[in-house]
Amino acid sequence: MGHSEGLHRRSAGLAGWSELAGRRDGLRGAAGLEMRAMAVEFPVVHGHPNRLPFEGVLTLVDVASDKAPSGAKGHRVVLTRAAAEAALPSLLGMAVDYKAGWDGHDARQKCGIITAAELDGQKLMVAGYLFARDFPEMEAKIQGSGATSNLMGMSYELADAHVADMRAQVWTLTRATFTGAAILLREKAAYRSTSFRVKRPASVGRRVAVAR
Amino acid sequence: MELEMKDELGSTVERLAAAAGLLEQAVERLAQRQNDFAMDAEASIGRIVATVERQREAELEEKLAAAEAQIAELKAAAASVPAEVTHGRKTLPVSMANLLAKQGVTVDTMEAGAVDAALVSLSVEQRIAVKAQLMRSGLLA
Repeated sequence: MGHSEGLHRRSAGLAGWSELAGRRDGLRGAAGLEMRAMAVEFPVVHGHPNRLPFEGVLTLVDVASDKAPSGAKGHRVVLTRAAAEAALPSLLGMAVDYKAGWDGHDARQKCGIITAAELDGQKLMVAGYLFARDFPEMEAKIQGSGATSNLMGMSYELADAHVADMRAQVWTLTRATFTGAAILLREKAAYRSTSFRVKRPASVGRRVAVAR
Repeated sequence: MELEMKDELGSTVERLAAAAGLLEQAVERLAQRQNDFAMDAEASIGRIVATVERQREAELEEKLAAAEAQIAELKAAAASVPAEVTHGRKTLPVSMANLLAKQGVTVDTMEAGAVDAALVSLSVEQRIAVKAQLMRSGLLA
């Protein structure tokens, strides 16, 4: 979670300004690893009772899914890096949801919002806020099981995904639009390497101070 | 002479026009085929959700349950056949053993003459099938 902490730090660090603005960064690390990031800047509201920061690995790019996603007609899929990078803007402002049983999506049970996204190597990292006061049972579940045992993962929802070759055994998605994400048990995700965790608000405040 | 040449030229022009028409049709068909091929190779999917395909799993579970039920049914049918009918031999299909049992034939008392007498009420095809199965099972020489 080292990189994701950085993602959230940047996201939180950008907050505090009165207007909402988009920002896109291309960062090249010492090892030549290129990172693409994008965030929506939110004003800081200290002690906000309904904002619980989260971060997670939404999916992997250029890697075949472990299982066939729903809607892919039994095919495993590969989301190309180029497609994911092009789709980053569509991810910001989309909601995260959860379903009773933690085994899928319930698009009408939106419990948070994605405010930052970053491609870090093969990981598509996201960060944002959960509506903690509106969904107290969610925080209890995630804090109780996910933070320490890494049970929780994430799942994306795509629309208008372009498949390079429908006859291929593994579908390659060359273009897509993100329409949402879900928090669920990792074993229910098509990508088993996803992750999800909440961050205590107190630590965000500390990180904002460091970022400034 | 001139009239003949004109007629010949006219028919040649007609043939050329017909050939051109056929070529146009062929080009249209080729273009359509290429378009179909492209459509088949590339496509847009309306919605993909990165959760495990539950519908497919459900279908597989249904098939597994049906297969398990069928196995249980077959086991139950096999258990219902009296031991004196099969005499511990498992090479004879259960359905055949049941058929023989209905005709009053048990495996341990089987003789060619007895079988013929017992199966007299069956049709010729059924008698042939029963005897062939008995021979395959090694119960009838």
